[in-house]
Amino acid sequence: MKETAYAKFWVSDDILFFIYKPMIYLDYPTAKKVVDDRLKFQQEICYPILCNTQGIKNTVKSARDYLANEGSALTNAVAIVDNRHISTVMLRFYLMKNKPIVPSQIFNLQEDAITFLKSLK
Amino acid sequence: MLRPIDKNRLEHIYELLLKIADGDFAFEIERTDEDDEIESILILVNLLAEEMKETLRYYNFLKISESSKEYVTMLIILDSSFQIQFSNQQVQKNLGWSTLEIRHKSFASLLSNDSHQNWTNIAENVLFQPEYHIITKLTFICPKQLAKTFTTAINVIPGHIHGSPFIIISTFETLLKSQLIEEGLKQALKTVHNKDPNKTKRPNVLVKKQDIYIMQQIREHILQNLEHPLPNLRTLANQFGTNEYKLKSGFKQLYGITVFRFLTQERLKRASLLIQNTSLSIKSIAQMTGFKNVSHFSKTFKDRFGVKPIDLKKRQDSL
Repeated sequence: MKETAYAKFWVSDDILFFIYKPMIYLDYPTAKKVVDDRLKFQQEICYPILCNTQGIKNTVKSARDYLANEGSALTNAVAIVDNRHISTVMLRFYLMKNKPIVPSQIFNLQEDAITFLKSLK
Repeated sequence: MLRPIDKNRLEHIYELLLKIADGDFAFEIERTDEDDEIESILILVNLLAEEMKETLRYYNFLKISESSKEYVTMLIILDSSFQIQFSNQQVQKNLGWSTLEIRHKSFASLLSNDSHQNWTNIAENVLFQPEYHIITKLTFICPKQLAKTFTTAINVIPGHIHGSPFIIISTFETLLKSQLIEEGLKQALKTVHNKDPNKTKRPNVLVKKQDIYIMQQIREHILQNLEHPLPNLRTLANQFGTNEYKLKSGFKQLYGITVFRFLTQERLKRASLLIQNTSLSIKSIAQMTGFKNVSHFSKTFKDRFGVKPIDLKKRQDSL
């Protein structure tokens, strides 16, 4: 498992598990660092990603835009797991406005997220 | 019956919606730790205001015919006990607090709860590190419980032998999207300078909502297929139910860049990201980002970033 200032991540069953640590603002420099760290960890291997966003309280538009575009490098699908009530609004807005360029969906349960990622293999 | 705290949160939402209706998108509502329907609506209103602000800023940038700038707006000077000694007119303009209202108040009293921790960390170090300088995001509270977030610089002026140090807090405004800043002001200026104000304006080809939607779809298609060759404009236009002329002019009108320049720009951004963060060979990266061969990739990359991919890779490897 790799741990950085912003996240913990590891590969299990050919899925990259990516868990954000608690943060008040996910801003552009943080988003860039998050993507850099993930790419360094993956090297040349492309993985589907299970991304737990529960630690994020707020995001800024430039960070969302970056994650939706550059953040899609070396992945073919993203399943976002977040069971907060507010996550539905936050993530629906992200999927609608920022339009990530790889298939992305939101799930309350990790099991459903894994099923989604496996169905795309 | 609503709890008083919920009533309060709804008041904030009304307040922000009224600001939006009035054409002011700079405010936001301070978030709480609640996880309920009201918080969801509160978040959505914040996102809406931010989206409007960013979108309008983006279009302003496309339209301006002079160079874009970053400039200092608010200026606040604190004494060594972090009390406000001076605030400029912009503080009143941006936050709504008059100079007299906040004079001698603690700086922390201007900040939202979420920014308190950030400020506490800064305050612990600011007086003890020579030439302290940090740029961070701070959220300031405004009258009626609304808030505004600013990129804020904090600097210290060391005290003389008998004097105490002062702390300067300044906030910035910029006309550029943050990604444009990163790509370099030089690049942005080049784009701006290329625009000849005397050139005849192109006709508006994006009259129908459907036309804009098609341009957005084409942009997404390009981003999703960076590694594949893009067909010529006529074929691409036909694939999405439009014509070559509309695609050519409409895409430029909406995004300020031609289809093929956009494609190259996005390919190069992706390539640069992969060079800097993976050990993939230059050949693989060229293939993964849709370049026909390494020499074409190398030349295009150098034209854009001023450095050959292989040299950037060597530089990264030596770090």
